[in-house]
Amino acid sequence: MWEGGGSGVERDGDFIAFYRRDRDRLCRTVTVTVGDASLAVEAVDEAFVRAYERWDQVRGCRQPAAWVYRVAVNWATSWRRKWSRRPTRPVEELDRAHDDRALDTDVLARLRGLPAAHRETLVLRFVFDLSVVDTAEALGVSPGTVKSRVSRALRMLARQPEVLR
Amino acid sequence: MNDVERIVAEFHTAVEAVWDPPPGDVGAVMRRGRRRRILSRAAVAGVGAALVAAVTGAAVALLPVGGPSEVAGPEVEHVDPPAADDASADRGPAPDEGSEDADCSAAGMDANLPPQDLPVPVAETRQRIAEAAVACDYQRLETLAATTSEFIYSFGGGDEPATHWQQREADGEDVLAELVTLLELEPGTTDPGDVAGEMHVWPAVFALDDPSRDDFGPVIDAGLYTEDDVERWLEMTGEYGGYRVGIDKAGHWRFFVAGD
Repeated sequence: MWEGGGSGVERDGDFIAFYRRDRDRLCRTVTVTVGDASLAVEAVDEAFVRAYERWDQVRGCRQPAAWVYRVAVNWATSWRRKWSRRPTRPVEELDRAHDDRALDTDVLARLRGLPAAHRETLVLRFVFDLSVVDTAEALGVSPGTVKSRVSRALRMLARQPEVLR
Repeated sequence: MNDVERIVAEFHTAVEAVWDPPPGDVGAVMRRGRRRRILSRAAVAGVGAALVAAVTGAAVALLPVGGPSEVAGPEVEHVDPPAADDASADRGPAPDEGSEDADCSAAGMDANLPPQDLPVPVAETRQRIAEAAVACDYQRLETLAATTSEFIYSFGGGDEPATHWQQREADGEDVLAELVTLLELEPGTTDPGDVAGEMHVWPAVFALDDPSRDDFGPVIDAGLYTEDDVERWLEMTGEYGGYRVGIDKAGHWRFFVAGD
């Protein structure tokens, strides 16, 4: 018979703070990775539900946001495989409220030219600031693969790729 | 800033500026998470019970008559809830069902529940639970609960279900009367695609993701809870937080619990 659990007030408080701090950033990074804003929002919500279900474990991770990001990207990828005809909301059609921010559409265009695995690697490595080893572990690849993906991705993002060669 | 740093900075800026997502609803996320926690525990319990049944069946038969496929899968449907008669036989003398000696909040209530459109196994378990509660037969209730190994009756730890419910009654909480009253209300069903599969739950409001105040009407009208209770739940979690009962489609009683 199950009788576990706890009062959960502190636990819930931690989760709410985490959600409020990281949710928008996760929506953006998943959008950049999967290229579909509506799907990204759904995926991030789903990943947060899963994080809350097992919050005692997830909050013990070094980077809970990276955990949510990976779950969201996997969920979105799997969902897209099953429902390929679903209407999408591509990045080009998004409402941008940050008019004051320098949006480099060239960078976005070049990002879209990268394979999804490379976008994912860049996000984990530079947005969530994971080390090469942690990024490799999160993606289930070798550190060498992470390094080569990062190197190739940065070359593709550079306006003058030759500077990185 | 070197070239790599500059490109990474541009990447950061692009990600930050890509768009402003619509506002999130952390309350809705937590409600979905809580419901899944309960349902997943119930699902684990069902698989556990089915595995026990499969192993027991294999041990009795020694050799499967129809080949390996007969014991291959933990089919929940293969686990029959015990008959009420079996339960009382296991626990010694029959309880004072409906007698004057029965002493609990449900004593004297009508065990003949209003008919509902339910699958037969669910209807049978619902009826057996009500009969055991009205008879104040805690042991029979515990036996009905034991058709799954992880029946949920408390989030706070403590004794076995029979002792737990008996103690709540002794503390003045009409827990068995609430159980019978809940089963008189209309049920809801959980999503068949959810982790625990389709399950009938009482009251129906527990099955709703985003209930309105009107959805709480039946539990208020039945005298189970007050409008103040509903306001508190809506403020704290946005969902029903009172006692609820869950029975899966195979007729296993999965939970009778309140709070989260």
